[in-house]
Amino acid sequence: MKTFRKFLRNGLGLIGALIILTLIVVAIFAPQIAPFDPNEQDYSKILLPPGDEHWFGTDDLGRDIFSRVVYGARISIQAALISVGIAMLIGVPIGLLSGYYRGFWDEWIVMRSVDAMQAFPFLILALAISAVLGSGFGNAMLAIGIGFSPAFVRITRGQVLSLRNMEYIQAARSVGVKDARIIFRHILPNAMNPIMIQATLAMASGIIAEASLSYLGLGVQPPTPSWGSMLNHAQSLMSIAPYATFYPGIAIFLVVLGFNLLGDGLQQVLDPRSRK
Amino acid sequence: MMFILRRLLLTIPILLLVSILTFSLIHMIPGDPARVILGQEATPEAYQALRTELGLDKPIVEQYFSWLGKVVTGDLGMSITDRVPVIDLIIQRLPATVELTIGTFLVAILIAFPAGILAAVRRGTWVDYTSTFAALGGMSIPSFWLAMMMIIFFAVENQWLPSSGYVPFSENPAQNLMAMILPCVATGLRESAVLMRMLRSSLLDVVNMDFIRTAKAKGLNEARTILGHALRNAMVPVITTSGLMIAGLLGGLVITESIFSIPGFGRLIVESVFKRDYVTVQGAILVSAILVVLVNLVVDILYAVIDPRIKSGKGAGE
Repeated sequence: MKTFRKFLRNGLGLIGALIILTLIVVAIFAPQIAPFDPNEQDYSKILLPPGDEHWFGTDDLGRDIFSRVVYGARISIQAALISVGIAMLIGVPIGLLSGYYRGFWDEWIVMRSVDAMQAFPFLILALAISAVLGSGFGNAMLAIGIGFSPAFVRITRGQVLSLRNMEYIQAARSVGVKDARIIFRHILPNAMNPIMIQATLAMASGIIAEASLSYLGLGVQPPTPSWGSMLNHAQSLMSIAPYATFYPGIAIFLVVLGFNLLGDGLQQVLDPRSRK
Repeated sequence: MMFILRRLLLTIPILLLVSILTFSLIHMIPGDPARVILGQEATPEAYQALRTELGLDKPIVEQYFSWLGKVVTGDLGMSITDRVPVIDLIIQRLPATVELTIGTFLVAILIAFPAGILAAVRRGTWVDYTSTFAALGGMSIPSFWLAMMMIIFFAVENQWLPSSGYVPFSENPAQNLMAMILPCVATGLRESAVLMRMLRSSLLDVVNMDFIRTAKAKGLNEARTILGHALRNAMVPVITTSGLMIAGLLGGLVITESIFSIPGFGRLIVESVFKRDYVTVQGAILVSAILVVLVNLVVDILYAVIDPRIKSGKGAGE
């Protein structure tokens, strides 16, 4: 409760949380908010500039850009949650076990593999994995999740290393509490703050990564509206309909800003050492 | 010297793991890689020839060592679609990417250093808040969208700069520089935001230290204190960020090069992905990872030059 009150006093973090909340509401109520079907083509209304009927204008197939941006929120929120969820599912258990048991596996297999994975430029790795597995939203999420996982291994392991020698852990060990219980009941809850901060900031990167892959044509496939694929489509319209490029980009910017502000706010509240 | 040697030795297992991960790429293809690359209509002869060329008819361990043996001699295989050595394709494409990386890095430094120093020195004032908020905003802008907005404003609406294309510097320096302004600024703005935040935070750690107080007490003015003493001590985390940035840039340039039609290394990867030229994709991602490992090695050696405590194993914070 005290932490929550501290967070409420953090102005920028609160703005971030409000932006994310708006995104979630828009994603859930997209059918009620969007005035048109996002995939409905109307050839009598192609390339209309923003106006009373079509607030953000229409694209070259006569589709309402506002409705597509609203539905795009669904893809973005899914991209943030699924990619980071996959990264956490891979990274957190490995980091926990590696940091707790240490030794050869930790030092030479896990950490060196993390070093090796982090040697691949993230987007190139995601691009290569998507290329191999095939384009599409699911594979893009898998590619981004795998790309993010080394960061979660590193941060979780770092936390475990600082917690494993604490008195309360040694006490638990001395009274015969099993390793699995120590790891998941005593270490993990105390290691969660930095993991949650990392998760929030990774969600911002996840949205940009999904948009980037969709922009390149390897993520969400047409006609499903995603902000990245909308930008891909709008690129050929830059000289005749610049507004088609403007709105999906602003949407990505606002949501990523929201996650960055929220992550920063959480960091200031949950990890006071970082406060400057 | 011992420090550099130790650091070089640590690089070997990482490079070996990088090679294993890269090698595994073709084997991650669901089904038979040769069938996926050639499609269902391929003749049995073509299918068998590709299997032999890729070494898929041998046991996997033998395949790896045979591939690794070729890689260490610079043979990354033959492009499936272009029928030229992959290494030649990469060498052909690297100059544009190197130029773009240097330009982007320069833009990032030119913005981040003055803004970061000002924000740290004027901590808690409107200068600090404005630059910190601008940095957060900058970090949130997708660089490919910013690139498109800049093309609309500077190339489509006003025709001040070219919207795309690349002319090698050796052919026409003026045209080359004109063509590189938009891509470098579009990518560099975001990077400057990351660098600025790190510089501000690192400087704030240093300006409260005793030696800075002593320098001020001895009458040194603020500019000399910051530029002559604090900045050097704040550089270690900034150099780390710069090293990571170059790794991130190699990835980010994939998109920048696609938007501005720059025939660079990133665009080679995208083109190869769409042509299902997995041998080129494999070679290119291996080269990108090796470049990142080498940049990290240089960064670590630079640490030791800037902060001799690292060389003696005591660490910067001790």
